[in-house]
Amino acid sequence: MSNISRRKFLKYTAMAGACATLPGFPSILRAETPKSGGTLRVALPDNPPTLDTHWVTTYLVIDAAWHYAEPLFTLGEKFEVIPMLAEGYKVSPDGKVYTIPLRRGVLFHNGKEMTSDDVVASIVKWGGHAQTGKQIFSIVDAFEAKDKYTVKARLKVPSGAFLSFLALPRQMASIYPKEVVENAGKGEIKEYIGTGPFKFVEWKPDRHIKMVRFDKYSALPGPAKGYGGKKVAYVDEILFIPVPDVATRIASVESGDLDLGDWIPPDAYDRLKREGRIEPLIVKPKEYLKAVLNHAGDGPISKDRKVRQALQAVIDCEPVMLAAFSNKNFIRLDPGLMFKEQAWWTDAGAENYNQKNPEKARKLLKESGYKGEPIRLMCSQSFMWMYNSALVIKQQAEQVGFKVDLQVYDWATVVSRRANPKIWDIYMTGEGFNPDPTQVELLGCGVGGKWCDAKKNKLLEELSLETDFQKRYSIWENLQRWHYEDVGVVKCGDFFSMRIMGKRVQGFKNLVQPFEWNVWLAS
Amino acid sequence: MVGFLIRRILSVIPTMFIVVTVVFLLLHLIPGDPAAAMLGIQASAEQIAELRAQLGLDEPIYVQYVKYIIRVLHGDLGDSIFLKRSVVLAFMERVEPTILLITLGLVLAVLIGIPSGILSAVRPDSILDKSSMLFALLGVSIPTFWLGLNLIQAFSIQLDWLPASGYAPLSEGVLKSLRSLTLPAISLAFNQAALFARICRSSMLEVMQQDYIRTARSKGVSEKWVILKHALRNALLPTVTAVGTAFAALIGGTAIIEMVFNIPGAERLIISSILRRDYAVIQGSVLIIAMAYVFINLIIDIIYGIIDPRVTYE
Repeated sequence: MSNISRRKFLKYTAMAGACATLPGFPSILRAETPKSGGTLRVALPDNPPTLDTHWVTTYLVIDAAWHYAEPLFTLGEKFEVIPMLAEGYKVSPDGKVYTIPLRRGVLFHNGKEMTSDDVVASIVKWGGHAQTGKQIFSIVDAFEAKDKYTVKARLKVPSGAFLSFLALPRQMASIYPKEVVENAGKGEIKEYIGTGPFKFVEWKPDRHIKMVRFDKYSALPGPAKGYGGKKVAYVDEILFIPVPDVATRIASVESGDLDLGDWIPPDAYDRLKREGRIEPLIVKPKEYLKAVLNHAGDGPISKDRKVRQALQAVIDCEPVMLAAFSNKNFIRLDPGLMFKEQAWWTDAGAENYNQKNPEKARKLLKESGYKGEPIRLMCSQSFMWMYNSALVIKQQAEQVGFKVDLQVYDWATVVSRRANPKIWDIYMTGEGFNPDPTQVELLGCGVGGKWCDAKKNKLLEELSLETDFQKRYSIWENLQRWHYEDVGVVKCGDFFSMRIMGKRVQGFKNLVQPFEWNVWLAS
Repeated sequence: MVGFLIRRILSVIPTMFIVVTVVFLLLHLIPGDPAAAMLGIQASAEQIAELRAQLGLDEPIYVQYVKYIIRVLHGDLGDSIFLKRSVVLAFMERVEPTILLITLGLVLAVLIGIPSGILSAVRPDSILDKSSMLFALLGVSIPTFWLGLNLIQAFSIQLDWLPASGYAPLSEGVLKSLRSLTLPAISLAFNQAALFARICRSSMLEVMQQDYIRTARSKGVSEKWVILKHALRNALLPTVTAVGTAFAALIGGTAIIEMVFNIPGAERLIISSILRRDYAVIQGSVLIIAMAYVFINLIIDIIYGIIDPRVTYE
């Protein structure tokens, strides 16, 4: 071991300390102590349509709104359900009654304490409007106050997914004051009052949404956990600024006019990483690319399983994903219908994923009743990844004898056309992150063209009713395996997005959904 | 003059009616659904249908058209389904940056373009003339968005002199506001300055060949006085017209600059509303811009007559 004098040791540590304060020094190594103050400027890709989290599914709403509003439960580090405004929960032995005690002393931004009346009013409104709320409320017999600080949910049937619906960030089941809910009637919330670490100040469309620190915020004790745990509002205020143009979003973070930007195209990753002016972050998991197959139409895709199997057999996922997302850092070939980062992940049925087997496809197609009818493949240039992936799928399918009619529309048109199962066979879209497999969109039934196979429905029902995780996991494995046999959709692969962070941002946790509590600004 | 004004104002009515009808039909005939655009990628068909009914979009197109015309005749341009405020209010909230941007851009363009044009015409085929015309050629050839992105790269990212995006309203201070508009105004001005320089140069060259200029010179008037007093005044007439026309045209033409520099102006409102299929905002904004365009052209016609007595209003 070499000797070093005390004087030299002090000199080198002082030099290292001085270097660590320099702006160019990697922020991850700077490890500053959290400090309060400053304005954090966050770029949004567009104006959200509302800040009522119950109202619409678009994630833009949550990006801003969950700083002022909070749910009863949220998701932890491994995307498990953890209490937020709830103290915890108890389930009756038959799995039908959930008793949820509430945290005491939690204040809304109008100074009123949150009680069971507010929770019941909010959750009942969410259950009557939100897509996910309606889904779970179809099995809720009653949601009522037991006392001032306890609510009770009585279910018609046992459900292992009940709490995960309450914890889902998409169309989040936020708790608003009862009066705010009543004033809204059947419409959306107009007064943005919640219990979050930041309170809403003003919304100037196209300019900014402004939130400031809520000094009387009731933080949970202990460490931060995923989307929950201890939340601290270090910055004085957050400005959410809509910046629709991607090049401007990147340039504004590079110049320091903005601090954080999301939905950055992967092709900017290598340059930003090389230049080191700002930090590009890969967001995983994010979504997976799927070719949705019509199961309710009158074409060969709907009528003949072998035709669907032939399509699944020919698909070579890597070129499809690369055409869509261009950078290998942002794609992952994986058979899981739940993401690899989740406890639900399984590779059941993987032998039927990414087969890239034209011979098998030709054989299956020959055995089927397919007579060269055009397969109508819808896609949108509103999202270029949908269009680019559709081009490769068309090419791969045609090499084994499919005749593909590529139909390109804007996204709004795809949405309106997909409701009519008689006019399409396949369309390209993404499947977002879901904490529970019962929330996976491709398993849903009822909207035009969806996979409503009897065996799938039975397995899905079993999965919903079961409350024990191990048993549920086993059912989920069977369900995923069956999906690959019956070909519910053709899963192509996981894709990730990129967000960018300015050098002065500290403490940011790069999870699926961005949040800015626990973030502070460097000197 | 009064008769001319009354005729021009009356002619605005059918123009506006045509504008309203064409915009309404175009919007409703193109595919896409505001409810779907508003609810996002994860929305179900049921939710979309529910919102369509709430917004009255499930009614037949002619019913929607008649209702819209009646509202417009009552001075009501409707409410934005996305912004949840009246179209007039939404538009007025965004007029300030657009008007300031156009004004600043045109002032810069005039200050650069007209002197360049004059200097080129006074010294034709000189290095000054060739440089000036090269600048003019670049100005009309370089796309505005490309110039804007390069200005951001140079002056915001590399030199850190000016903000890359956003707009500081006048209420936050005139200097701060001007600072936020400097790069967008330069991007806008470059193209217009080139245009003004070319127009000014050609009209100056034409005027300089006139007999009265030769007469002035033969009478011993100094060259400086010939240019400033005799040539420039007459040569400026087409340039003034071009500046007025450019102002009117830019009222509907700053969208790209507003998008590149993230300026919350009236043009960006229209682009965003088209993407969201926010029918009321698109229709209302186009109507307001069309009215502004007609009004500015009317003013140009009047000013033209004042400057040049040969113009009559018959």
